[in-house]
Amino acid sequence: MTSLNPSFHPRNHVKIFSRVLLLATCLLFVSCSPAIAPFSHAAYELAVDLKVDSLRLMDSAELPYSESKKKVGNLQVRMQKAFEFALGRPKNSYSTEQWRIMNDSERHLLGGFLRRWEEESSLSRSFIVEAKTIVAHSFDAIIGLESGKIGGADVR
Amino acid sequence: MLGNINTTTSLVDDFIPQFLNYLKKSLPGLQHDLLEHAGRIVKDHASSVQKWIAQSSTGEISVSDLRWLVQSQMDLSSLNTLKETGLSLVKLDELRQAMVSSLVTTIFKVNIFR
Repeated sequence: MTSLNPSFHPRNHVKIFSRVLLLATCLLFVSCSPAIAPFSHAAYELAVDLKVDSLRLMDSAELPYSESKKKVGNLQVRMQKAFEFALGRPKNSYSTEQWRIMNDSERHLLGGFLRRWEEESSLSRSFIVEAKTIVAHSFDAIIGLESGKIGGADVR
Repeated sequence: MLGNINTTTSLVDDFIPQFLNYLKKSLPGLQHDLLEHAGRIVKDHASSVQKWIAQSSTGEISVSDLRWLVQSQMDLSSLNTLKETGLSLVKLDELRQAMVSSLVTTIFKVNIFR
């Protein structure tokens, strides 16, 4: 009489199958789409350029707003473009929200600073210096997030 | 065939503890970063506001300037929080990629498709 090989017991097949299924599920899980957008060199450069130009323009806030109105308008358009660029990228909600806050004239970063300048015509040197520090750090937060994304190792 | 069945089960049995170890090592790191960030926020707020109050008392900045700057500090904190949260997601993505790489390497080492 042939003895049955215990390895070929049906229960073993079910056990093996369920483990292979678990393995396949793990593989499926880990290969899901990423949680956040990858690094964009265009977005990074945009942020760096806007930081430099914004801080330079803020220095002029000691002078009447009317003298810099055109430059302010141009900067606002560029800031809006940066926001739209962020908005258009999938899985990019954190960067998009950063740009939104930065641009918002009701808040107290660059958008709010430009609005205050327009309303008061000119601002004090001491205030400008402090506000520039805050705006510079704000741009650093935007740049820091972008350069920290996967693919941004070269600019970190 | 029997050899392949045994290697498949040991592959799964080996992989799961490794995966759990990897998670254990990475997640405390994430938690630590977030806590450090929260600590930095509190510290930065306090020293900046102190400085501005001093400037306001000497007339260097106006009361409305002071109010604006305090509010700007809050907005800056929002941006920093968004940054830290976003970077945590990057770390999770990196962890996920490392897991795929580890799994694929292990599968081909074991060669279960023989």
